[in-house]
Amino acid sequence: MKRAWRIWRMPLLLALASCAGLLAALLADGLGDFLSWLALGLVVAMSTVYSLRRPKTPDNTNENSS
Amino acid sequence: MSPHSLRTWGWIHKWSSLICTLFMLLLCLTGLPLVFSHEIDELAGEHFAAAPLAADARPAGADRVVAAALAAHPGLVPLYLFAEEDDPGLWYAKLDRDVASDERNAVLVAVDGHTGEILGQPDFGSGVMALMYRLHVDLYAGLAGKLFLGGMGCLLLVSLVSGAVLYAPFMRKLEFGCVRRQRGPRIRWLDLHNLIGIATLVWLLVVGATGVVNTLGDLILKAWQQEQMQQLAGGRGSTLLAGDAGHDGSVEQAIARARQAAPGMQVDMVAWPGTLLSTPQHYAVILRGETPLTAKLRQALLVDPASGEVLQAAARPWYVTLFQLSQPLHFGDYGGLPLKILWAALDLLAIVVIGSGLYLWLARGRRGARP
Repeated sequence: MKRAWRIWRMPLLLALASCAGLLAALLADGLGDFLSWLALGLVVAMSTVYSLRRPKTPDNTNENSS
Repeated sequence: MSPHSLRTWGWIHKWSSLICTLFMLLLCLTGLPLVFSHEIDELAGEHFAAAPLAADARPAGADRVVAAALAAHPGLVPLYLFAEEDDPGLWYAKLDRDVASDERNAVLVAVDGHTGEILGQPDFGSGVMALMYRLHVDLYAGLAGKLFLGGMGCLLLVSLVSGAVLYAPFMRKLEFGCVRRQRGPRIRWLDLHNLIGIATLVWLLVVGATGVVNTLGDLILKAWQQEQMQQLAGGRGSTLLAGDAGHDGSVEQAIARARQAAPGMQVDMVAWPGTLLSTPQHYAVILRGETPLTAKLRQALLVDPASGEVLQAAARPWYVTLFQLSQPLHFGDYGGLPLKILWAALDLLAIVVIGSGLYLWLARGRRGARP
């Protein structure tokens, strides 16, 4: 149970942000548009930052191949 | 997850993805410029705009708009009149030899609704953007092409769901976003595939599912029209505004009657009697609301040209609501330019997910295939 929460909490957060972002602009102009940029922007930013991030410590495995 | 179900889900993920991969790459690549088609048209100068209305002037009105279009194309009759949502002064009139035509030779004329002057004929059929559009929508194969792409979209949905199921077992020992860079390209791309795939999952599901619904658009509209005709023929339509005398049958009067019957709505388009979207005896006036959500949900009213009676054939069935909501949620055109830019960014991320998935299959069997 604890492990499921550890694995899924970030994906869940991004899924909720995506839903909020997709709906906000549909339901209201102005503030709704702004909220949707923020929420979908978070999804894009997290994907990009984590993809390009250099880990501070070499992998959490001790292997040193390649 | 037991090793057996892991294998089953892996098999489902592999084959559903592989079959649709190349088509999904094509859709992502052609979809990218289509997100910005409005901006590209403007930059290319293929954009019409009405002259600003002088403070004391009255707009020319629908009747003069249609008359101007017909005067420029003698021998043709009007089929449809479209209002431009972003420019209330701009109208497009569609003309053809008769109302029951297949519209292959129909002419579309842009008319300034303020001055009643003809602005030109938009060219939707040629150029790079038209190529992108056809490759994205029907592969130049009409309804069959649309339904084929819809089938590929269904496979995408299967691959997204199975991919999400596989996410947990692959991440058992890893933190979110962990990209193992020192264990060879295959492990690195596997981690990136999992990371970006799970982060963009909801967007991919929504754009994929709405894309599938859009491929059914023609069939949905035809079914709705049939339902409306049956309701009317069976006398089950509801009268919103009773008919009376003194109507000249003009399109402007039909619009006025429809707006009187449905206050607070804007005209989206008008279909002349006998066309695909109306009945042989009625104008169809399609209205849209003024909030972002209701603007996407069209309401169709039928107006008797002689009596001015306004009918609503049937409440909008759920599948039409679904189709109408599927359009903005697929196009990403409902939240200004920043939303379009985010749409493009998510599209690029989708290309990375699809491309890395393809790479993982091509590089399969190398060391470190399983976590």
